[in-house]
Amino acid sequence: MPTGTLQIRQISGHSGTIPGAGVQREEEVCKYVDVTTCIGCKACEVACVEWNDMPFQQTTFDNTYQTMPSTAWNYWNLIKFNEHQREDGTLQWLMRKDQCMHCEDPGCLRACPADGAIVQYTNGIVDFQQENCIGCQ
Amino acid sequence: MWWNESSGRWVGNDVPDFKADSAPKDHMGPFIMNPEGVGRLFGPLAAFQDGPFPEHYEPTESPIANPLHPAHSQNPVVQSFNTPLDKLGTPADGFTVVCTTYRLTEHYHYWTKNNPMNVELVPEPFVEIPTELADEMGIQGGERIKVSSARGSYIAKAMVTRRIRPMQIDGKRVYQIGIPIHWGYRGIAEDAGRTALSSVNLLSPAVTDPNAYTPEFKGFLVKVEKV
Repeated sequence: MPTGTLQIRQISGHSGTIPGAGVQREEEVCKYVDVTTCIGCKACEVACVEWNDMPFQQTTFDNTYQTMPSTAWNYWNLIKFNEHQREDGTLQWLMRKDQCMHCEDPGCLRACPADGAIVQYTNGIVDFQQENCIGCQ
Repeated sequence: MWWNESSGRWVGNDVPDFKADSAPKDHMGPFIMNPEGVGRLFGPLAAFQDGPFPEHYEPTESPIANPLHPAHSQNPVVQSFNTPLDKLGTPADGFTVVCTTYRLTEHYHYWTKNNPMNVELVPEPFVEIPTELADEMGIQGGERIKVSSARGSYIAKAMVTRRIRPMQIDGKRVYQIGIPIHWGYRGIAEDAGRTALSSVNLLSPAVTDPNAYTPEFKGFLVKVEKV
């Protein structure tokens, strides 16, 4: 991957300067999600479904704002809505973004017994090679 | 800052903007440059229907009378209509729960109920009710409940939550519930038979404030029943 292609050019819902603009990046990349600014709109969930050309499905109401209990084969990006009670008794939502974080030392890759099902590229991206997967979960 | 009679001076954490030994009975005060000798407050006379200064009024439907002036609890110049659908409810009629309506980040007005992406995120209408009210009424999350006002009723599933807490108002425990507005008569969930084919705005009062004409959809009275 050529240097610089993963430099941030635009940020959704963001006014002001773009962090890291003009910075020369190294070859390796990692994913950074600042959940403290997440408002739980779940637009990223829809964007993921659309980008990866996955079918829409019917979900069911289950007493929460969370779209579904966990990620699925056709739903790779899920915002988890965790309610946290502060010391003064008030509540806040702690959003967690459930998806591949492209760990530097991926636990899934270490645990995987199938040759070549999970690979890590030199730029740090972790990828899943479906044809090599034996479905051991 | 206060007047100390024995020392004959104003004392405290500040110094007066006038003679420090001028007694309160002389009414000197800090506004010595004004002919009246007192401060002035400005309010644009033409801008407000209900007077030059802001005033607290209770909503047209409120669980309590206005604590500031109970005889004039509501705004006297509020805009309202006089059709058979413009009835108002009172706590005495059994409408004791405060209801508020709002939008969700996942939906946009009444359009996105036709869009499978948005419907996947939030599939059907719901009513957010406090855990305490749900316990009192024996309502489980996901159970269908009926919310009624003096004007109409709305049926949807209950979302039992700790995020809306009971309020203590004028010595009374008052519950608030919340209903997102995004569903109606046609849409993906509607056509699949997953809604009661009704609109939340049937509950809310068509009463608007006299200056900005903002409808009073954020605070009105309802009752909650199990279906």
